[in-house]
Amino acid sequence: MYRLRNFSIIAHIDHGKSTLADRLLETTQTLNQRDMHAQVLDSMDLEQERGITIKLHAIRMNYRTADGSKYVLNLIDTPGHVDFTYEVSRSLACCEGALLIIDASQGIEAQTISNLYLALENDLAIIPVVNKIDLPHADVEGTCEQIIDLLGVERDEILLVSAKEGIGIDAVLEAIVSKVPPPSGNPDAPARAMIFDSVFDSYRGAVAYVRIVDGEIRKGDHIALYSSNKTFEVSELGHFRLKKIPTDSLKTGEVGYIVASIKNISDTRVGDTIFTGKKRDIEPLPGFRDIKPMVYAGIYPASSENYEELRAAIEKLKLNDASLLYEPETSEALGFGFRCGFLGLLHMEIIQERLTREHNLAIVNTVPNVEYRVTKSSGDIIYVDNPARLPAQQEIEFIEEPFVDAQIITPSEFIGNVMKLTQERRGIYQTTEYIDPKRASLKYRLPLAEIIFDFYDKLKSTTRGYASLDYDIAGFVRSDLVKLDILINDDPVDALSYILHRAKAAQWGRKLTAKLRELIPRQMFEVVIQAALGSRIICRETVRPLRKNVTAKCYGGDITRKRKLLERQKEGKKRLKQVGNVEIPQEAFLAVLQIEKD
Amino acid sequence: MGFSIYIHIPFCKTKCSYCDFFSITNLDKQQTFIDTLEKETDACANDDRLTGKTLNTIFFGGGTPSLMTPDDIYSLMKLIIRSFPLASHTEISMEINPDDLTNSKLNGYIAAGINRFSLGVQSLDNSELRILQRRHNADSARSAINLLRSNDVNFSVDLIYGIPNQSVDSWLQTLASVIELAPRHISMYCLTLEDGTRLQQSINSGVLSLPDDEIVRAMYLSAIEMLTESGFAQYEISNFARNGFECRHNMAYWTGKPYLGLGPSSASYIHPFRWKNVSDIDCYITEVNKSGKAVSEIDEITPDTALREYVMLFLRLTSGLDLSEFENRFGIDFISAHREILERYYSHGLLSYDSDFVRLTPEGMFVSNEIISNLI
Repeated sequence: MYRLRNFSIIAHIDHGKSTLADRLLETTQTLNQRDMHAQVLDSMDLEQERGITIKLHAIRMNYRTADGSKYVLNLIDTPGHVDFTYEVSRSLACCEGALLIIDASQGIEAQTISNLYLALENDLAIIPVVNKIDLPHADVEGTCEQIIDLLGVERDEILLVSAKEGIGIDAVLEAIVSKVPPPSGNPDAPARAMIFDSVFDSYRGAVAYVRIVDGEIRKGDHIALYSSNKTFEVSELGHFRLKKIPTDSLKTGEVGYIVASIKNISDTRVGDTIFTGKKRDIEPLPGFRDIKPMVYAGIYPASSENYEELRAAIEKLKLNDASLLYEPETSEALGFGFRCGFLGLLHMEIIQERLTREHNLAIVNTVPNVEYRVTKSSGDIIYVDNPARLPAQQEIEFIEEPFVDAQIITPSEFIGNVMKLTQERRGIYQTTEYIDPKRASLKYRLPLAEIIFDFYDKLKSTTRGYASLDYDIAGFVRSDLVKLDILINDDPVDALSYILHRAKAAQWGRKLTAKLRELIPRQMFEVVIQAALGSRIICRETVRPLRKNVTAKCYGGDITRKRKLLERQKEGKKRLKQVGNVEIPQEAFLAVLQIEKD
Repeated sequence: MGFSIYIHIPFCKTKCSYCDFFSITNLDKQQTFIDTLEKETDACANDDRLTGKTLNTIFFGGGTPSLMTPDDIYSLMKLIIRSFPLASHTEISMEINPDDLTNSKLNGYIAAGINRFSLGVQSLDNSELRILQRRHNADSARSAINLLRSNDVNFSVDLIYGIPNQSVDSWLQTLASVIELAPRHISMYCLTLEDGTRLQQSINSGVLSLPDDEIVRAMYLSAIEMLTESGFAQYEISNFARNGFECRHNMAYWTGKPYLGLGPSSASYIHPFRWKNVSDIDCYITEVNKSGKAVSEIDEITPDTALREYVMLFLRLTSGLDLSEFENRFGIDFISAHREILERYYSHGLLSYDSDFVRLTPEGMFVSNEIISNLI
């Protein structure tokens, strides 16, 4: 058992996490040069394009130390985006140590610090690694000083590495063995394992990626899931090499996968406890949280005849993505579609892109929103994840919205900017703590609705890219919220309704109607766009009618030229959605997002 | 069934600012062109799809056909007549430029067989003519019309509206003066900005600007009113005639009749093919001398395309789309296929329909691209 080490890597984007991982795999001969694709761990296209890791992966290495002892090292990879903080924390909980990689030419980034905090919360041993020491503008000593300030370590505990050049890799492996504690846990107790990820395999069902905390799980064992009480029989289990390698059992401390004819990926929830034996004898592993979407949005087929295709595509994505929630809904404006719940805006964009790119579907996406808790005059409490479903004003006693506890780490020179931004977003200031002389951690309580769109981007730009953001749901807080309706030629368009704070409603109404006027093409008649709060119209814009659209001369006998012109015009209409009498382009339904970016 | 011939004469002394039809201003190649055109005509005479068919209409367009001498026209006509029998009342039209017309030339053309002239007046306002970069002025346009009238020959006048700086008043003045000069046919075309024209450059660079859509629409609708009151019936988006003087050649285009195009850039249609000649004089000459033809694009008209063409063309006509003929040809009930759209346009006064026809109203015609693109 003490010959096992489980570790993770904490690094900022581009600081060399993937390259270092590749070197470790190479040095331990987990994969040879021939198998070597650059940056093996980030394998999805979208991940590579966006420079982030979305799905978690793990890999097992055999390592023989300088003194000849044999060790098994499990590297558990983590995603690197604020939308996925919970998943990161569960992956870290499966490890006893982490490599903290800092780019010698960049120094420590704020996001690294917040992930470091997550690691420290999970009591991980931290091995500081300064990477890219070969770069001409590397500031190795400066970076080491930052690390010493941050971690209170000795200079000689910091490893100097160039993953690209293969310098210092052995020292990293030696440090993993010597610094990372072996897994603790009771091999004789009933088995407990933590799920840190799962994937869906069309032949084998949901495959759980686990870390065994106590006991042992064998092929043929009956296992149960703590949160759902469902039981399954293990048909296969094994280790992660480049492929999945079946074994007979997974022992205390080991990392591997379990196949047990689990039909639904929602049964293998990240953070849940897999156990054997009786439930009453089992203490669930700490930290499990039911996945709760942060944002909701409608996804509709651009053309209603593609509804079934869209359903099939979402179902397929859902197979591999337990955090995607969806249910059918209808909109007066958009017809039949789905209300989907996402972990965050990035998650939403990924789903959107996969639907269009991988499934070749034209979709209309409505403006994302958070979930509101509404107390009705009758005393009933309902949850509203679609503004169109908000009860009428007179039926509402009050509305609550989700708030988050946010931690923003920023260089101290930008504190003023951060405060200004959070104030604009209705943030409630809590505390400021200095991490080191140049860096502060600010704590705020913020409405989730104010940070889901572009808060992170704005935060980055107001701090020249240096600040980080982490947040945790703090619960529902009563707010003075109103529903802004958009009327087009006097008919409310449900898909454009939006819930926001009363103080912001007037300005938003103006911006939104102005944006819609830009986006809606001229029609055969005047189009009046109005924003309304209840029955009160707060602003109005008009799209003048189309008055001239004619080919006066039919190009001699060149009928084909004329026909092609009209066919192109018809083609252009495909991006328009007929809402009542008015043709509205797909992008108009996301006009709110564009306003925020302006 | 008979057919039509279009002959493209690709020469102009100067190029008008708005025109994107194929033409060249180097007149040196005229003779070679005429020789080549005769070769192309001869070669087509052997096309067995046309053998024995009567010729209903002939149209000399351009470019500027009136740069051709009456002798040139005569020899071409002889060649055509040798190959194809003429119908009893073959309409033989020719576009003419006011500047080129003399009494003797006109008589020569008449003697060569031309029985309908289409005079490119465009405007009777000199500042507007300058913007269009026409060679003639208002006076020469009037004298050309008087010349045609004194010879008692059938003629049409071409006009353009929506010219930069043009007002509704100045447009209606031009139109009223033209009506007074008593042509039997008037075409009025809304100025269209075509890619690559000098006018487009002037507009893009801000030197000139087009009148607002509302103004141009007012020009169109008030012109229809004025023409109707003066006894001209509208029969197509841009065409008006006294009873019986509709241009049969253009009607052939709009009603799906076959036609043969001769000369560079000309278009032809013999079902199920549409094709187009090359838009290059040298290439045209070389190719015709090599093989008797100079085709650059051929399109096979599938049933689907035929349906779209049908909708697009018949909705240009005031007589409209004949529902039972449409159903016979395509097996589709047009009304039920498009009921929602038709009702919407109907409610906005853009079209009318009953159990026999769908027709665009004048207001509908001016947004016909939008309407038709929703119906094809």
